[in-house]
Amino acid sequence: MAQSAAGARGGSGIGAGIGSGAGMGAGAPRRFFGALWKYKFLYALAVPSLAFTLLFAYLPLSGLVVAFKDYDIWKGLLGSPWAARFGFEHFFEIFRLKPVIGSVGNTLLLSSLNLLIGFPMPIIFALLLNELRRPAFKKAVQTISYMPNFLSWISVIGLAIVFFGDYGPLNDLLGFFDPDRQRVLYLSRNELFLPFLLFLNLWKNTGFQSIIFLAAITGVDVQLFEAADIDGANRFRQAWHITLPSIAPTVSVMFILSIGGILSSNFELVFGLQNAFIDFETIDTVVYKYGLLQRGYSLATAVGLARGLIALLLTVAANGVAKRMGSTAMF
Amino acid sequence: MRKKSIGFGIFNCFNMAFMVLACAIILYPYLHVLVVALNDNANTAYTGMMLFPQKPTLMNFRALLSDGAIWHSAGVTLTRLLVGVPLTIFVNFTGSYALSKSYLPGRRAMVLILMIPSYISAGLIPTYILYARLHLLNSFWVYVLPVGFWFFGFILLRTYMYTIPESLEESAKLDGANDFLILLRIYLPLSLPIIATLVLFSAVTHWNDWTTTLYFVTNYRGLSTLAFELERVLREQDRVAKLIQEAIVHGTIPPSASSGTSEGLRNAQIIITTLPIIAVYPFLQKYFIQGIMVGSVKE
Repeated sequence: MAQSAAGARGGSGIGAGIGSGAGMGAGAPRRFFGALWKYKFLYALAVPSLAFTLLFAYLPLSGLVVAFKDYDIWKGLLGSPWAARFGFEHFFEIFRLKPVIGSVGNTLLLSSLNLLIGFPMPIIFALLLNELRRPAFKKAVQTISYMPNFLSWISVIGLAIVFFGDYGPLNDLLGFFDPDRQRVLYLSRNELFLPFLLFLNLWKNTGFQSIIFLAAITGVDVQLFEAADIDGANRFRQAWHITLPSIAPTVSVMFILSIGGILSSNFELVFGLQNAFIDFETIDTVVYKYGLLQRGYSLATAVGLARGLIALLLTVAANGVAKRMGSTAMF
Repeated sequence: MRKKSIGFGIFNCFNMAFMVLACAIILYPYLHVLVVALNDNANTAYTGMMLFPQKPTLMNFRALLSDGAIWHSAGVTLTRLLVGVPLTIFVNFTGSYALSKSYLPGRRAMVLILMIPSYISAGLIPTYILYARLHLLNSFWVYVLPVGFWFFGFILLRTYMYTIPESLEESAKLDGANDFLILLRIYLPLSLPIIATLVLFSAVTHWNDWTTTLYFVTNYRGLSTLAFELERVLREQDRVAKLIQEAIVHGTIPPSASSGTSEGLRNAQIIITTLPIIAVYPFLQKYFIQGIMVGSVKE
């Protein structure tokens, strides 16, 4: 038994050697298998995580080849013929089909507005929360505002359908001020669909997303505020000159994370809120409708692949810009 | 001490008023749904803003619960939780334990393999094609297997394990404990707070998910979940009509009340789907927040 303790200590030497790539001489294979045997228990524990990842995250990547083929379920991945134009036909198709290219525009519009409105709101909310002076009140506001995050999107849509319905509270409230008013089916108005998407997103996420910023604010050194107090800075100036610069790294990382999602939309929200009167598709609803419902597998995969590649590029680019500007980067 | 001035007195008032308004905007829609669900349907359609039911009744809930579909979908949802949550915890706990050991050769490569999919994913159609080949379509396992490994949960657990001092492991080894005992007797008990957080996150995700059913369960009769039943009630007119018909046949709802019945049933379904989460959340809040905090620590 004492041997195993000694082995663990000796093992860290071997591990460091292999990890850094040093000492890969003639004895490397033997050392590799030696390490494998020595740490068999730990490797065995890592197997489930790796196996699930390979099976459900890497293996589906092989299906991306569908984007370059005219996929036929009966012929399978390998048997299906390659698409025209050296396999890129379905990528050209994206630009030819009005609903598809239109959905790209809609997605960009929705994401940009979400970023413009939805990104700063949790920061503002966290700043305001931080200014609340009564702990019990602050706690109550936190508990209530975090709550919608735990409801499913379909429940949020249910609440919206009831609240904005023709006999819902909003119509009643407005009818109270103007008895002659016609009842409005708000959720069937095409021009109101985008504002609804933005509003419901704010309603569900603002509170919970403020947690990270609130934590960053709480982490600011108290001495900075005390010094500012002595120098005569009021609370607005303190928020502007101390709190905001202090949470800038957190804001920067969160912003980079959001940039990668600019071509993504929340399928649950957009699809769930759609009805017969709404003509607003995003990339995600188009992929579902053209891909799964109408079995246009190749086109939908091409849309998804193009989107994924652009998102990856955007994330890397945003990260690079953040680095150059001296803010905290993600990697 | 901070100086108090009239300007900030006014600011504080506005700030508090804003917060009260925000809370009302969050709470009122839910309260309204609850009130309408508990109100007599004959009375529902024109009552408008109410803070409590004018004619309290449980008829909507009785009507829904007399329909077999809701019990069946509740059963599927619970089975999903009972199978899916322990599986996710097992996979992520073992994986994060092994990969938290700095002396394990190849650790960086393995973590990289686990991390890359957070940036690159195959998308819906390739996933669908794979599930078809794995015979996961229209199978219960499509609910639990694909979420077996969960990178966020893995990071949460691993970050937590780094805080457990290595000296504990070393002294246990000197006392003759093997790796298995160390995992079971030291790391598992010490990780329980973060495991609780993970159980909650995982359970809420399973409970709230309805798109898996939409995408991958095409003959959904037998595998429908509570969240998916809500989607049907909200979006399929036929579903509500059938519920009303059944309720009248069963006698749980008087035929005369049918004018507001679809609204009443719909609201009751929203309440049934959300109540467990609303009821449990305030007491477990600190675990959720802890999860977010640990998770936001930079990798």
